[in-house]
Amino acid sequence: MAITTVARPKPLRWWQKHRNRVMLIGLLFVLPALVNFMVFRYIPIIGSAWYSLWDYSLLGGFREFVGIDNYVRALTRDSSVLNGFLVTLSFVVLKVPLQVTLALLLAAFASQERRGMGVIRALIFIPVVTSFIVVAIVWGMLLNRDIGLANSILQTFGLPRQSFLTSQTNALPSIVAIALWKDVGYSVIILVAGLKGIPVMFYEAATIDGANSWQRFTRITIPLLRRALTFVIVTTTLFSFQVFIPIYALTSGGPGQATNVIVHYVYQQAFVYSDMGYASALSILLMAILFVVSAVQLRLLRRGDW
Amino acid sequence: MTRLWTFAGIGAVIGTIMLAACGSAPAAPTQAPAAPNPAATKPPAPAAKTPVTLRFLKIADELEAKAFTEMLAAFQKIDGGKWSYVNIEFDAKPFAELFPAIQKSVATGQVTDLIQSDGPNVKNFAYNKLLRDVTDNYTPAEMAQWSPQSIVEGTYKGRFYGPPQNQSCQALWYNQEMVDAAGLKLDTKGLTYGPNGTGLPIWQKLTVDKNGDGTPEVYGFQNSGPNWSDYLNRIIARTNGKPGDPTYEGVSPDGLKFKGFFDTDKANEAFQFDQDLFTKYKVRSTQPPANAMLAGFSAMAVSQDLLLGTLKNQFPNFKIGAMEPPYWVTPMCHTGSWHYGISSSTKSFDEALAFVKYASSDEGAAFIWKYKNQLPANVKFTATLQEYKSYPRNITVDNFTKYGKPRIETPAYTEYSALFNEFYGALVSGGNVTDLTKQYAQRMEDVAAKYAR
Repeated sequence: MAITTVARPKPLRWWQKHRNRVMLIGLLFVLPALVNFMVFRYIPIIGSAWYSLWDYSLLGGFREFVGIDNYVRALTRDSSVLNGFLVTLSFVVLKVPLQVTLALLLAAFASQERRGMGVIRALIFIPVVTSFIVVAIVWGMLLNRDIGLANSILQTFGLPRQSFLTSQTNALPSIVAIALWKDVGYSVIILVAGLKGIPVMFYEAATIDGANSWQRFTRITIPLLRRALTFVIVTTTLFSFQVFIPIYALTSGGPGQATNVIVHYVYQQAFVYSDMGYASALSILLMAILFVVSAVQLRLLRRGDW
Repeated sequence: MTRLWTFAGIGAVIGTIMLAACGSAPAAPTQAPAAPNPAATKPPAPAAKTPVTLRFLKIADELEAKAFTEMLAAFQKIDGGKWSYVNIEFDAKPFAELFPAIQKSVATGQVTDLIQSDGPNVKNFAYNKLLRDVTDNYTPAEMAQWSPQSIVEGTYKGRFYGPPQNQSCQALWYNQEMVDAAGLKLDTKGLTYGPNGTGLPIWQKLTVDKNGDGTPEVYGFQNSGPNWSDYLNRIIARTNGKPGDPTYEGVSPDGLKFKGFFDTDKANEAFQFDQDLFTKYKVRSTQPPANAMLAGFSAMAVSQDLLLGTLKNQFPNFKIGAMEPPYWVTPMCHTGSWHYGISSSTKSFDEALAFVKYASSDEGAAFIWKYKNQLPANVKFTATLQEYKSYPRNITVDNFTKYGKPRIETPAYTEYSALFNEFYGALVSGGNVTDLTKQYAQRMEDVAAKYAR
């Protein structure tokens, strides 16, 4: 009787297995983004953490290993740090609710399918794509106390001229207003996309059941817009904590230290006061705070999908 | 699946390119004018030397670029063409970016041969060992070609680091038509600060509020704005002292102590009056535009005579007058402008030194003067210039000679200057003067403390 030998199939190499091949292909797709994050985000963060343990300046180099002294100094000896965080917090508390509310209202308006709405949406978005430095400089001229257009308009209505950017009371709210004008368009676009994703049948059903427009807005729109709103609130908060350009361009942290937000103070420490080690410590502290803030926000705003 | 692999491969290539780009050499310099090649008149070249290109990190200035191009061509011909193998690569940055560019250059270990440093920053660069000590490379006769103020500005702890390129001083410039319209007759002697000084009534007369809304259309007085630099705005306090006293000197001899110098009673008196000019008498604007006086926004302004270049180019019909700048007790003008520095990282010291010596000589200064028209640091050369022998520019050079005082001499000048800016903004917005000077004197000392090491 003949014995038939059946050749054993060769075992597959790991990259030949289907599941692994799919994963490998996926990894190659995300490789550019990974490289970007590694090179421009994670490595600098690790570098920054290392610098924060040294007495280090760009011109003087690494002078002395100081351990956590920079952190102790920031938390216990430097009143400008507390001032910086308080000013930043004030900025965030003023800007975020205003921006979210305004964006929601504008999105509700701009999401309607009417003639010319494309143009309206574009007009709302134009400030977003304009250079912030240019925006800041132009607004600075508009808000000039003596020759600015804003004060000329106020005077026309019989109101007194205001020192928008040179008054310790008015400077921060003025910066908030400028940043709001610049950034609200980004939030509007996100919310418009979110609104477009809400099925019309919910509104139809609500209308049939006798709901008025306010009830439809609060009982349908807001809950179903939760994901987009969460994204807008979290990103607006994160970006607001990191505000820098209008401060740098318009007030340099002044008058007094009325607008000296923490990121501007970090910049001053690094590049003006030649204390890169201390600036690195401040930026690590800021990162930790932002991490906590966004974690808390995500936790509070998390809810099941509809 | 094949298509997937293709796209994945493209992604891998992009990632590799990005990694490669991150490790690439620094970007090429932003300006590298070719040296002229006057072949017809070129002297016989000495024995062939390996070409040397010096990298010169400096301010971006169109007029300076022309001056240096000609200067380099002349330098290559001196001493029988001894330096004909030397070329210069100008890495020019806008003013606000120059200091960060220097910091970046040092931090990344980039080789630089020459650095253009603002006078008050020479001490900082010397402290950080950015500049070569050239004390032993200059004879007393060579040092004597510059003004004493220039030597002070280029010196740190008794050693010389920075030969000067230019100098500066101020005058009080005014709109002749506005002065005539106010019925004023002015001579060239400086006005005095203070509630009882000669300046205030004149500035009040020159301040015009046609519609009576409390905001003048024309302010009587302005320092060339709009930023609040110590170059112009510290003078008022220093002039309320006498040479040698803390108020006048403004900082301790080692450049590290500010308490008892910045916040003296005399300084507070002066700063209080300065604040009153904005808030009480309203003869100064809290937000002046650039070129306030030339634009018709103020009747008088303290400024360098560089103002005349702007006038000629942009306001040719402006009728200008000049007088000595105002003061409290002791006249003063703040001095200081650009200096040449030889970088510690240079590998071509002899060539760099030769170029710097030439550039800072009377011959080199002539090229800068030809295009920039700014007060030279070279004493003999300045004495030959007709422009400084007659009104109004003679006021600048006379003031410089009699009352020129370097700005606050401290290795922490960048930090001090930023804090002064912040202080002055708070002063202008109405803060308590005594509290502010005390607070900022402390902060200035805190940031200067590290230079005691």
